[in-house]
Parts: sequence; C-alpha cells; structure tokens
Amino acid sequence: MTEYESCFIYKPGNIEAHLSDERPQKRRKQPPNSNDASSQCDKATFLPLLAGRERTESAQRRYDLFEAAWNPLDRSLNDVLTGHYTTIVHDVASFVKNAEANPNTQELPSGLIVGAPNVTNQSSLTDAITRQIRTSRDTVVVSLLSTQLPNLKTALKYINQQATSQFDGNANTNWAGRGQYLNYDLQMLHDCIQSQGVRKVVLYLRDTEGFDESLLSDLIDTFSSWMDRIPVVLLFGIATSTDLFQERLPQATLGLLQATHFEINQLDVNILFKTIMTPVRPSGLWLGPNLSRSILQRHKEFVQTTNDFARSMKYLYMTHFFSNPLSILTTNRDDVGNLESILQHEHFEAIRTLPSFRRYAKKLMDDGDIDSVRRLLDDDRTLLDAVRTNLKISETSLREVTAGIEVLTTVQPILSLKKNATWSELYILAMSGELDGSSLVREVLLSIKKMSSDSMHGLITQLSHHLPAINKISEDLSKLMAATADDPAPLRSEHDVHHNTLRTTVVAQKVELSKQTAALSKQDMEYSKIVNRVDTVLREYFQQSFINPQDLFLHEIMIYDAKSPYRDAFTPRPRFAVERALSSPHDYLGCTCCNNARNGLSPTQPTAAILYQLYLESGSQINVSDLWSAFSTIVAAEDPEDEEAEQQRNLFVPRGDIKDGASTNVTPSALFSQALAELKYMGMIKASRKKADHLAKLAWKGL
Amino acid sequence: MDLNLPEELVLALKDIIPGREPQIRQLTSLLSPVSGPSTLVVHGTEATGKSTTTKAVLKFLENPFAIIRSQECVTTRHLLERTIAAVNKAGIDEKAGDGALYAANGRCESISAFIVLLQKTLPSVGKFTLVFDGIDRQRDASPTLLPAIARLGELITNLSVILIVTVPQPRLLHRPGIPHIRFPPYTKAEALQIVSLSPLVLCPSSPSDLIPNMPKDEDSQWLWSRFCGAVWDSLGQGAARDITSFRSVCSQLWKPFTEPILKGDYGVREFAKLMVRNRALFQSEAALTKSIITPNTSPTSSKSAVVKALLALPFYSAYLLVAAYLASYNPPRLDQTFFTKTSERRKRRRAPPSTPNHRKIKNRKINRRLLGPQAFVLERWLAIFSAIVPDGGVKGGGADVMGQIATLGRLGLVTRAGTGDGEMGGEKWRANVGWEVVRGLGRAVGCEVENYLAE
Repeated sequence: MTEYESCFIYKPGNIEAHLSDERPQKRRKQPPNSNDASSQCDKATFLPLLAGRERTESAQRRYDLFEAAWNPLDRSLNDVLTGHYTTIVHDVASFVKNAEANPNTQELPSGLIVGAPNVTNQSSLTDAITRQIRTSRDTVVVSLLSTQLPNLKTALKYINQQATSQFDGNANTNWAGRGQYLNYDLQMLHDCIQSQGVRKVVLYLRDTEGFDESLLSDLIDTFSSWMDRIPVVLLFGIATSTDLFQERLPQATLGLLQATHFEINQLDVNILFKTIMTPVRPSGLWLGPNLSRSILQRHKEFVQTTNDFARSMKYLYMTHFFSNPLSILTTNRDDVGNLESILQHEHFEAIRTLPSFRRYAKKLMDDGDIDSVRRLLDDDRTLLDAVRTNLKISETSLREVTAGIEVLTTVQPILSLKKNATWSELYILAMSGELDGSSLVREVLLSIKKMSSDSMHGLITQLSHHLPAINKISEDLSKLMAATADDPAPLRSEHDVHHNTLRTTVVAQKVELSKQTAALSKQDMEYSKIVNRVDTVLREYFQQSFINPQDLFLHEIMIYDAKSPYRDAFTPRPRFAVERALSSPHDYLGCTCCNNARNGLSPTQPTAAILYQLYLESGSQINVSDLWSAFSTIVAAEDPEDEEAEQQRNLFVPRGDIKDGASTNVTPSALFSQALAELKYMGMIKASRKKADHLAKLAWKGL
Repeated sequence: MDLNLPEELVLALKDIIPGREPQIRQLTSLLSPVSGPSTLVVHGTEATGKSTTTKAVLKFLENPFAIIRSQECVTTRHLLERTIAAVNKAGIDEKAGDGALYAANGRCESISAFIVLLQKTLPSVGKFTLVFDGIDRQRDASPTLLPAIARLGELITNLSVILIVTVPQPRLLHRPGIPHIRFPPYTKAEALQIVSLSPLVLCPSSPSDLIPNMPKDEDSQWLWSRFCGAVWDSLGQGAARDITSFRSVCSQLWKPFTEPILKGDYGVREFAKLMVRNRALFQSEAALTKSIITPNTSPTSSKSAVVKALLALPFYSAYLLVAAYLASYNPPRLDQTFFTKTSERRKRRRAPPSTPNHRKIKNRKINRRLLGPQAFVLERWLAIFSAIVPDGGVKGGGADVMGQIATLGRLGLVTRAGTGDGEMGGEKWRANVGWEVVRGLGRAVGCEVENYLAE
C-alpha cells in the first residue's frame, strides 16, 4: 500500500479453490522425520581439497574413511556407557517392581536418582531405565520433561495421554478419544489401568530442577490423593543433590513422599578417552598431546557431559579427514592396494612439503644416499613405495606406544607408588615423546627392582599377557620359588633396603654412620639375577615403545594435533570478538590507513570504534558533552592525509544521508549521532537516570 | 420434632472413631432424613477426623451420598463434572435398573449449568447428600463458587450439602444461619487412644525362635502406649499435635527406642530404664524435621551429603556459583573494596555538624543474609567471577562460561530475576543456594567465601 491509496482491495487468485475446502487444514506438530535427515547424511561428502584439484573420488574416500574410523568407536563408546549404567538401571527397575504404597501413611513410593550435575547426560541413562521398566508388562512409564509441562493441567493431560496411548493399539480402546472425561481428569487413567490390568504407573521426572516448585507439590499432592486408586511410583532425576531437592519442597509435600536414594557415579572421562585411543579395530588416527591435554582439561573445568565428549571427539576425527587431503592414506580399511589409482600428482607434491618428509630426506642425505632422495623428489612411484612401507612402520610404532602405556598402567597398581598416573596422562606424555627416560618410568623401574619374590610373581603373570619375552623369566622364577617353598619369607633382591643396614660406630667419641650390605643368600642371589633380567627386559621394552611420535615419517597423517578447529567450534568467544573489533578495528579491517595508529585513535577508523575507545576511558557515568568534544577533536582533526580519512568515513555512512549537491563532507555531529546509536544498538549505553545529559555505561571490556 | 437419635450408631462409631462422640451426635442429628439444614459446614484443622467421621456417619445413615475431594480437581469445571459423575454413580448404585436414565453425561462449564444438570440427575425422591471435601482449597476457584454451592440446597429441595473446610472464615459463604460443626484438635488422651489402635510391633519380621524370650503381644502393646505417652509429653504436644505428624514421629523413634530390647539389654517391661537410656532421643528435635529419605538408606549425615554431591560441580561452575552468591548478598557499593586488587579508600564525606536539631537517623542494621538474595545484573556477576577466579583463569563471555551460566540456571541454583532490555549483560539473576552449600563449595575449590562477604 502506498501513501496515496486510502485502501486496497484484496483479490485472491483462486476463489473457487478457497471455497471448495470448507475449513483450512489445521497445522499439526509433526515429529521431525529422522529418515530424511539420515538419507541426507548419506549423500554428504567432503569438499575437494588441494586447491580444488582433488578428485571427487578422493574426497568421497576421505568421507568413507572417516565413517570407517568413527563408527566402530561410536559403538564401543556406547557399549562402555551402557556397561557403566547397568547396575543402576537394574537397581531402579527392581525398586519399581517392589515398590508398594503404604496404605497407612499416605506416602508415595519414590526413587531419587541423583546424578552428576548435568542434565543432558542422563538422556541415555533415562532411556535405559525406561526401557528396562517397560519390559515388565503390567507397568506403564511416563517420562516427563519440565519444558513440556508448564502447569498442573497440562501435566495431567500429558500423563493421561502418554499412559493411555500405550494401550491404544489393543482392543480398539481409544481412551483419549472417548470424550467422557476432561482430558486432564485422572479418572481416565484410572479406568484405563483398571481395564488393562496395569499394576504400576511410573512417573519419571527427568529434570526435577526444571520443574516449578508449586507444580511439583501440586503434582505430588494430586497423585497422593489418588493413591488408593492409581498405584503411582515417582522417579525423580536429580542433578544437584537430595538435600537441595528437599529444601525446595514444602514440608507438607515432603510428608507425602517416601524416597529411596540412587546415586549415579559419573563415568570417568579417562576411560572414555582410553576407549577411543585403543580401539579394537585400529582407526589409524591418534590425537596429539596438545589437543588431548586441552580437551581433557576443558572436560575437567567445565560441565562437559559424556555425550559432549563423544561429540567433540567425532568432530575432531571429522576435521582431520575433512581438512587433510593426505588422510586418504590412512590405513583403517583393507583396500590399501589400489592407492595408485586414487593418488594424483598433487598428493605427492603435498607429501613432499611435509616437515616429516623433509626430515626423512635430510636423514637420507646425511647417510649419503643422495640418489634415493633425488628419486623420491622426482619419481612419484618411488615416493609411493616409500610411503607405503613407512606408513606401516610408523603405524606399528604408534600402536606400540599405546601398548607400552598399557603395560605401564598394569604395572603401576601392583607397585606401591606415591601416585598412579592415569592412562590419559601417560598418553599425553608418550605422545609428546617425554615418557622415555621420564621420572615416572624411572620410578617404576626402581620399585620393580626392590620387589620381593611373591609380588614379583604376580607382576610377571600380569605382564606375560603383554610381553611374551617375559615367559622364560616366569618359568625360572617359578622354579626358584618352588625350590624355596618351605621358607615362608619371600625372597628379596640385592636392591631391597632389607639388605642394607645402618651401622653406627663410635670412633674417638664421634658417631659414624655406615651403610652395610648384608651378604645375600644363594637364593637371594638367584632371585636378584631374575630381577635384573626383568628390569632389562622392561627397560628395553619401554625404550623401544616410547619413541617420540613427532619423529616418525608421515606422522602428520596419523596424528591430529590442531587445537584451533576444536577451540573455534566448541569455545567461541563472541563478546571478545566484538570488543576487539571495536577497540582495534585494524585487526579485522586490515587496511593500510589505520596501520600507523595501531594502539591509538585515528580519524580513519570507523566512528563506532572511535567512540567505543573513548567510552572505554570513561567512568560509569558518561557526560555526553565531554564525549562529543573528544570525538569531534579526533574526527575533525586537520591532517595532511585527511582526504583518505574522509573516504574511509564515507564508506561507513549510508549514501542516503548525503544530500544531493551538498558536499560529501559529513558533519562530525552526524557521525557522532550515528556512532552513539550504534553503541546503543549493541547494548553498551543507555540514558542515565542519575544525571541529566549523561549516559550509563553498561558493558565493561574484558569480562 | 422427632430427632430419633439412633443410640446404637453412636455406640458403634465411638470405637472406630475415638474422641469424636459429640461431633458424631451433631452430624447424625443434623443429617437425619426427615429434616435438617440444607447446608452444613464441618471445620477443623488438619487430621482431626473430619472426612472420616462424615463418611462413616453417612454410610451408617444409609442415605445416598457422594463425596468429592477438591484435592483431585484441577479446575472448577473439573470439580463440577466430577460431582455430576459421582452423583450419577451413586444414583446408579442405588437403583441399578435406572442406569440408562443417568448415563447422559454432559459438559458442565459453569455453576448455573451445574445446577440444571444436577436437578436432572438427582433421584427425585429421597434425600441426597453431597460432600465437598476441602472445598476451600479448590484450585482456580472463582469467588462465587463457594456461596453458590452453599445455596444448592435451597434450589434443590431433596439435596443437602456438607462443606468440609479447614478454617471457617466469617464471610466465606455470604449466608447466615448455616450450622457449623467444629472438630477440635485431639487431646492427649484421645491422641494416645488413636495411636494405640495401630501399634507397631516390637520385632517386625523376626520369627519367634530368633529371640529366646520373645515378648508377648500384650507386653509390646503396653510398651507402645507408654512410649507414645512419652513422645507426646516431650515432642508431640509442642510440635506434632496433629495425628499424622504425631504418628510419624512415634514410628520414627520406635526403632531406636526398642533397639536395647532386641539386643537383649533390657526386658520389655523395664520402661523407666529404657527411658533413661534413650533420653537423648526425646531431647533432640531431629525427628520433627521431615525428610523424605528414610534414615537407613542414607547412612551419611545430610550435611556432608550436600557438600559431597555438590563437589561434582566442575571447577569454574563452582566459582560461578560462589560469585553469584556474593553478588546477591553483597551490596554493590562495597564491590570496590572487596574485589579490586588496589582498593582505594573512598573519601569519607565530612559528616554534617551534629546539632541537637539534626537527630542522627539510627542505622538499622539487618544482616544481609537474612534479607534474602538480591537480584544482580549479569555484568556484575561476570566481574565478580573474574575477580575471584585464580590467576590465569578463563575470561567470561566465552561459550564455556555462558554455557555454565545456562546450566546453573537450569539446575535452579541461580534463578532469573528479569530480562535486560537488549542491554549487553543486562539480564538479572539471583542466587538460589544457601550459605552452607556455598561455603562448602568454595572450600572445595580453594576459595574462602568469608573473605569477600560483607557483614
């Protein structure tokens, strides 16, 4: 409608069509169709890399490799989670099975499932619990989420719907559709469970904290008055603690509940990390030390659920295969043979630019093998052969690293060390190449030397699963122990402190301390030999396994250690970005004109940025007049390069503001108003109520 | 007027419902089928036997009646429709053949429709009694509902209405002359008599061969009544006067009280010795505070459980919660002294010369912790957070911290007190945890909250 028309006539295009259907169809909420989403995912593939010259088959192959690497991991993660929750699920299910309302006391049986303080993590658990309870026929489960239920009426309606819909299928009884009762009348539920022979109705409040207190107590109140007719068992999913839950409810409501407490232990993230890093089927990808450290750190410091952890891991795996064209060389699939057909010249060029290739070539040069370096540089086929052999070698040695960590973690609990390092700590050390010769390994080896024979026996049996070389020693030890079986005291090695005695002698009125090693018995000598052999085997083994992974040729393909994609995706800092853009616009604009004024104000900067920097210097109440005078001195500064500033400024002023024929020189006052409006729009200032002509400062930098 | 009080009724009910004899007499006479008021109010505090007595009397009188519990009704419409349904059901039970007549189950959205429908539904002969239990606590009730219900009996001749309420407010029904029956709280003797009706046994599930000198039932009952008397004198009369709480206190204390007997230290009849041994039970008030967790399931004391459970909060979440508490309980003007590293002493304003005319206004000081949490803006929260977090900590404003804030809000540990109007960091929050929790949490992450808290 334009301004000269007083009204306008609506002409529908097809009147007949409108008349034909009498009622417009109601829009119904439909559950998101999961099939569509998954089918779209199937088609998804990665973008071609290598400056767009990568073939689509390679990109597709990278995608397939990613799927092949991640999917088994996802499954094993799920297995770990389900295994972790098995006991609690069974406990809750048996509680529900045995829960009986006490007719004398009007108390509803209820279970408090207290978990770690995160909400979403419970979803897999709640599903498991619901499934487990549903297995018994005569039990109805309704799981409630606070977001679905704003008030009592809706809550009861929802409960009725959910509970009765479970029986809609059989004996054509549509309870909700009968219209006999109001849809929030619990009589409906009562009739339904009576006719279907239901013996228990379980209400599972998934996030109890989200529920309004009054709704909670109303709900409990209502169901307790129905208790003689509807056998209800309440389950509360509590994320904080039982006491906080009790504090929120009124005393009268508390009297209506009789609760049993279930504690969920949070799954240790180290276990999840280990599951991912030591898969049953090798995924061909390891995470680097820096990345692992920052992920685990973040998990500890912030609420990060196990689901989040799995998600970020998936993201990392995907980023690797998405962004690294050479990831097609990853060997987690069996069809490595046809690499020639897939690889193109650009791939080889990319390999030649890798730092690890340079190191490899340099090593060959140092060995004097100049010809092969030349061939590697010139001939793609030679390079392919080298890549193939070296990939295998590198991968095996990486696998040995994790195997070595495994040995260390098995050994640690047997020894009585001051502190046992977790698997992930060891992994981070090993991946940065710091484990070999570290104080940790030295301490382990030292305490092994001091072990007595009986604990040594246990150690060797444990180790024999990992180290075949130790079997021979194990036999010898068994023989020796069999020979000394009649002596109850265990054998001790020469390194044991038991053999050292401190002797004090008084010579010329001075006390002298001297250490003396007692003579070893024959068996002890024998035993010491065995201990020394164990020590040598382990020392050599550790030295072999704990190489520095960064020294491996082609480690870029197998180890992913880029922190920034993870940081950008999972911990964005929008506020910091806005503040930085305003306080030093050059960082984002990258223009030449602001370059010389990096840390100061300059008229060439966008006006909002100038005003923001002035704003930062002021207190919580800003005098507009002062601000204006400061602003105008900067903007109207007579500079030799003023023209440039002028042009810059015009870029930021909409064309419409400049009237035809007038000079393009926009007045500072207009610029000031615009900048002020922009700051206001960003929510940084508002008119102050305390003083006239003042602005209140609302945002401080760096928070 | 022939009141014709059936004396056998009173005698029969006296034993089932002890201590309510006058009320039973009043009810029977007022509900007699021949005459009686159309509306009756039964009132009394909780757990004084109002519903039980009314139901028992009605059952005994063999009039058709229906009881509607307001507790079960979510809206007024729900109440009215349930009433119709209940009347229907009572009518059908009464004369089974006429079921089809009353099956017409209609909607009933207002009180006027209700009266019409009720007239249709009610059996035409004989008196019918409607009991509205707890009608004063009806949810979403309009102010006219109660007066309208009180006048039902005027409009429908063969209907009498009993309203069971907790407290009869003077102008509740807008109609004078309605008889009220009061159910006073039970006296000690009555309470003891009621509790003795359902005694707890000494050793619940153990077969008699477990304990050699198994106490006899009458011994156990004797002990129970003596024990209940002691509980009434020590705790009940002061703090648990109504039957339900008295009974729950008794059942809570029974187990620890009888433990020495089960151990074999004392005989069942040695009540005085038991009392002396267990005097601490009657001195502490632990049994009076309600807890939904039965003590045997959670062996650890409650306080340590809170701290232990909250320890699971991640490092920075704990700091955020502490910061929220400080922001809620510290006045903003003291922020500078508490949270700046180089706090400058503010210039003291010179006090005006105190003359006899200028009376000093006395500073009324109330501990801020008693005033409840104050709302604070997000910007202040983040500022305090970055002030108390150890060096090298994270800055706020990132996704991590903002996610934490959302999580804390969802867990109900902080609550939203208002939205800023599009201002940066302008939305308001309020801490929702107690001092004990915050102090425990602060200690767990190495932050002494006392250092920052204004007195």
